[in-house]
Amino acid sequence: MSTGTSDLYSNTLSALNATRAAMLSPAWQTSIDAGTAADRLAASQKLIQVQQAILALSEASLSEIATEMQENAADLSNATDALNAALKDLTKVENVLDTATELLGIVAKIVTLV
Amino acid sequence: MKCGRLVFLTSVIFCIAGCDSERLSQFASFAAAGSLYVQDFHQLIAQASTALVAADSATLITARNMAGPTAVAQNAGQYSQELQKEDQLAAQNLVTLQMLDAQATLLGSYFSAITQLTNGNASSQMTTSADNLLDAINKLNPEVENAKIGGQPIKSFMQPAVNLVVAHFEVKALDEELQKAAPTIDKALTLQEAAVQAIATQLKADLGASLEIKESTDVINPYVSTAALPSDWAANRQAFLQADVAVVGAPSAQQAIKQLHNDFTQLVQDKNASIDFATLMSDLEKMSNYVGAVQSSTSTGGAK
Repeated sequence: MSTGTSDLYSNTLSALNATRAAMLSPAWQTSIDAGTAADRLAASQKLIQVQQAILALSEASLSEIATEMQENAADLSNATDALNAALKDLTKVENVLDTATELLGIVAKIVTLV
Repeated sequence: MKCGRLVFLTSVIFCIAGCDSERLSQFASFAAAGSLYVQDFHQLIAQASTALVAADSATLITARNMAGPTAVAQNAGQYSQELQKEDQLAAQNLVTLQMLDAQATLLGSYFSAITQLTNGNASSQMTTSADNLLDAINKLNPEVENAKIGGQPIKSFMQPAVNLVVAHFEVKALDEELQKAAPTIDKALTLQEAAVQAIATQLKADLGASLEIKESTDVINPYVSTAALPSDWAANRQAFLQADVAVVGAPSAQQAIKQLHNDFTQLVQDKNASIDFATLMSDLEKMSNYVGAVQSSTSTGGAK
């Protein structure tokens, strides 16, 4: 297991933790309150998916998923960068949800989200 | 001349007895400090478990509030399924914390057994009891090494192992026990060091998530509401701010187990080492304060 894989893993988990914290924050709540019912439903489901990804990654054995991590290394790296950038502006709800969906899609290729 | 030799011999005997007695006293002090550490560690695990579930529940409550109860009811099948998945994942994470707690319990019992051996009157029953505990720790060590917290295997936090050269001690029962036990206890303490670091990382993320909710529910929402400000608003705000500060105290727990491990290494390897128990006790007190602060922040509730 290379340091690169370990860093990639830590960065992914860190981005997901930051997304969870952002989606629980007063600023996000304000942005969501201004949206439509469909937006709120989408945000609600995304928050649950983010939490599940955190728990699933926390339980995954790094040695067992190292190959999948490496195969998706470039996509993971791009997706975490995009998500971290999106979290800087929580008023752009769609951008945050889209970038989170992108990362969750790649994580789902690496670990089973139950 | 005879008188001189007698004085010299008496001095040597006195020194051996004195040194030995001091060493036994140091082992007894170490064991007592180890027991204190184990108590704090149990609290740390309890708080980590509480924080994990609190963060998970806070996320679920927020997700429900975000969509609204009507939308959740309209999508009941999907939300039920998600809730079951999350229960399963959270339970898996809690199992790991319980395993670490079990290892600490065994260590605590072993420290108590060592205390019995330091009084110089060890019975064969005490020795058997210590041996059984040692076997149990030995069996659990590999499982702990491969356990994962916050996504990282415990072993990824471990420092490289150093081979212990155990000194010879005059008290037979203690000497025999240390020759057998030192590598296992050293490994267990190395794992504890790694575990505390991993737990601190996860606790920070989980408490951070709960605190985000706490700021909304306890501080901001009541303040901007048209209703009268609740009478406990100021107290809630203070609790939120203090909890926020508690999150950064984790290094004290890491320092406490590091110091305990260092002192153990010195005690078993060097008969003449001078152990700084005052520093160890101070580190343990800081760890205790950190655990108390975390407990306070988790007990004042997360999402409402």
